[in-house]
Amino acid sequence: MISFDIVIERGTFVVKAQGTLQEGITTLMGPSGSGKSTFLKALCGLLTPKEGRITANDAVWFEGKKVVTPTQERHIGYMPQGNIVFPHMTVEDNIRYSKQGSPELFDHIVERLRLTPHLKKKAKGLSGGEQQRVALGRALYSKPVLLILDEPLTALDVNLRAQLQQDLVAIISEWAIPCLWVTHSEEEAAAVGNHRLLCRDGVIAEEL
Amino acid sequence: MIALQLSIEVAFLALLINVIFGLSLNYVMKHYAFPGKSLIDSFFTLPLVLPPVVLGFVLLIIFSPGNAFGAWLEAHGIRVVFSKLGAIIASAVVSFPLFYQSVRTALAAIDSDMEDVARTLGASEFRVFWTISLPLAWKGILSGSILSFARGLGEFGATILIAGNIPGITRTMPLAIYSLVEFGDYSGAFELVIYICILTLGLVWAIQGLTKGSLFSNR
Repeated sequence: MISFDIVIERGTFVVKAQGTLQEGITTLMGPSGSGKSTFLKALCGLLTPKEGRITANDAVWFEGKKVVTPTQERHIGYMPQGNIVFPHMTVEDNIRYSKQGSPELFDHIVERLRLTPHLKKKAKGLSGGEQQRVALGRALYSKPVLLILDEPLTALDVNLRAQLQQDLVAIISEWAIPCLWVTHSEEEAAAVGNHRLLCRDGVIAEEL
Repeated sequence: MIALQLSIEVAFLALLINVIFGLSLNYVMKHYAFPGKSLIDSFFTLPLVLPPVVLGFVLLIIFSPGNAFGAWLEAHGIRVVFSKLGAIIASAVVSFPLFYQSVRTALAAIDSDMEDVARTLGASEFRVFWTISLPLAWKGILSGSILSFARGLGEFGATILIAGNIPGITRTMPLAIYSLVEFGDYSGAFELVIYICILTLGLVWAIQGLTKGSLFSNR
């Protein structure tokens, strides 16, 4: 379980976030510019909160004003929006980028995500849906304690969207880890997640 | 032809220095925040706007055996003034900003999410730079290398001050052209001019082909 209670300051913009992420999918909804991306980056350790506390199971990531666990040691599978594969690498090199995984895990991920025929291809040549699967495989290979998907379906066409949504939900359920799924779509949020966080004017909290 | 070979050798070795130093400096400038950073950035861009003769004069002062640093180098068997090493250093200094700025621009254009993902996957800052940033900035590195090499080939003002005009040792193509014109040998000078034009045109053309015509874009 991931637990957070933080204040993030970026210039005059302040984001306050409080809540927990349990095993399974928690959706995060909120309008553009309301502080979602800032919060995600703070969870990942890519920016430092002003104050607060973030813990993951028994590990402390951030305490008071101090980073206790840097990004590299948090083991977060982060899939940002947009073009998210390493375009200059093959699919195999993308997935193996983290040093955490094992050959068995690699074989399992590749088979599960139906990427076997693409392993030697350059990632930039794949379709949008395939690239998303590569990015997910790469994140899972790092044995994450938390998966963050920032609008994973936005860039895809409608047909692909339904298929990938189904895939993602099934795989996350198999992996049994907390997943934070950012979306703008009420329909998508209702379909994928049991828990929900809302972001409004820089305040992120669990839906009452 | 000796001048042509010498020019290529000097420009290539100067490029080698620029690649090593330029990439290292870009790494430091990208990853560290420190006071005076923009001043350092301006300092390393200065050779682009200063007259080469001024740079040559500064190098002459620094490396002259009459001064402490130059004397120390001489005592260790390293002679810079009136030597090929002097021509290489002059060429490297004058062409450095072209490489440095080109790589800097290309690195700044990379989607930072890509680098962030690598960090979340456990990569150190150096690994992120080496495996993500540099490969994605390859066009900037290539265009910077070509511009820097071409500038090195054409270097005259700083070279003549620090390295002199010694046939076979420091007389590169521009100095040879200058000497031939000074002696009234216009046809000899014209021949060298043709060589240098073909060489630089061929180089840029070949690389434009390799990068599918987008060599001087950022990514």
